[in-house]
Amino acid sequence: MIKGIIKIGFLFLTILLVSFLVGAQTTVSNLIWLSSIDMPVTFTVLISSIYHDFILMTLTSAQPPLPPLPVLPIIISLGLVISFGVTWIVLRWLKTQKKYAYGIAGAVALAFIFYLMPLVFFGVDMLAGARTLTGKIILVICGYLGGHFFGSRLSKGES
Amino acid sequence: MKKQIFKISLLTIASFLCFSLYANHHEKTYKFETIAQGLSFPWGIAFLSNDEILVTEKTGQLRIIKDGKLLEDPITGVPDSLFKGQGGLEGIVLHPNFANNKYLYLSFSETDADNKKMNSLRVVRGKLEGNSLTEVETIFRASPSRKTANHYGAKMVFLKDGTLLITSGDGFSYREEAQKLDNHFGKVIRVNDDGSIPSDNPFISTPEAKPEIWSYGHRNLQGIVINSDGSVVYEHEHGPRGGDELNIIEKGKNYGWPAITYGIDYSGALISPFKEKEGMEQPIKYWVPSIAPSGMTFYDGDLFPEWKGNLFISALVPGDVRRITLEGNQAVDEEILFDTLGRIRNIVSAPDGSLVLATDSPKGKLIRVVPNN
Repeated sequence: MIKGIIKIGFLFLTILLVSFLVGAQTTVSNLIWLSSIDMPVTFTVLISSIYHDFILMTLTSAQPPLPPLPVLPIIISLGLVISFGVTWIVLRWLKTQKKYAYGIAGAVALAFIFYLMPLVFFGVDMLAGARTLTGKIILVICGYLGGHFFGSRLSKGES
Repeated sequence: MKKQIFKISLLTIASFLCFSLYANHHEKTYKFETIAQGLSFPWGIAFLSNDEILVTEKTGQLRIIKDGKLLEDPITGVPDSLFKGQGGLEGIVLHPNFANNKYLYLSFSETDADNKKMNSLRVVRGKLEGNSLTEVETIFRASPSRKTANHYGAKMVFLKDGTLLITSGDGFSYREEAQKLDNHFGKVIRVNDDGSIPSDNPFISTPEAKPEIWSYGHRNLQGIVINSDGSVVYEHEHGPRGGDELNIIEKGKNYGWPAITYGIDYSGALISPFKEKEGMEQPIKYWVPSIAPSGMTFYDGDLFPEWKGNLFISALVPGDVRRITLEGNQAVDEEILFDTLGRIRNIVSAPDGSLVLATDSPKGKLIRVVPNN
């Protein structure tokens, strides 16, 4: 029972971590472009922008035309739960380190999310950081890092 | 105690009376008359005369309303348009010398001939002869093409020197391009009436710049009008989540999108933490939250003398019209009108001084606003 609660806690932390990383990737990609056209992007601007985006993208409900929910963490939750669920089943037969297996699961989840997003949201990438191939690759790496964190926490919890 | 109750009652009654008098006054200023209904997403409106109106339907037809009746047959000869997302057959404007040359101009989204995944904004002109558009020729095509079917702009207005301004939106996914001069994303375009490029355009001698550019740094510009003497160009554009803007457009200026903005992204992310920068123009008015401004007219009619010299901006969200009072180059007051009709796609001034609205719907209406007396 307690182990189950701890696992859910790890999952929650992973969703929060991935949401933060995805948000920060969009923030940083916006700021890199702004800096390239000589806008005054300072360290303070960087920190305050990352904070702003974390609060508004992860902890606040979206506004029309999006549904009135914290859309980003909900979409990431769905992707990770499905992907981690499949990984949990696969790991019953396949012997490999959990941190790598869940890492790959996280990466696959994010790849699917950012592939499917334009099909759901008006034919466009609603997340600015996902508009380029480089951006998409970085987001997939964010998914890997989240999964890796989840897998390594599970391994530690069991040892 | 009794005296106090009496005073409070008297005050309450007086307040109600004042309020109902105020409300009554506003109700009685104007009334609506439906000109036509059953239009498929009406978008652009142009008057051949007060009782003969051309309307573009986003689904691709150019319709005529004559003497209060929507003619069954659309005008033939109109090029095919891409009806997808925010695209379709959109803007329409008559040549200033239409009475003699019969030229009208249409803007629309169009699938690229050599790559069906891409599309672009195209403007054509043609001669209206009877129920047909003839001698259709392209006078502008936005470049490069885009994958998205969003943010076309597609509004047009003739300046008093006979050149044509065209709004070209940022394509949603190409917003950074609005700050570059080598493309048509997020620009106001200026061409001659035959599509050639005026020799006094601001970037005609700038290496790698598109010579048609008149101003840049715009998002999705769905309203552009001139004042009665043609000396000022007003433009409005959709912001993202907040940050809709009303601007005065001047030659060669940078309006800042997306480097400066009062809005944030739909996802909640900052598009830019900056709201102003030297060398980038400020709007004369902006809206947070968004009203989704969809069309605009400068009112110079006589039917509503108290509204003369005001801007009227139609809004899709929540669905109303904003009357903007101007003083010099400042927007000093705003009144919300016509908020019972749902999403309003466009507003224009009719030759008789009435205002005409188009509602945004697959069964859209054209509604005339006239004085109530």
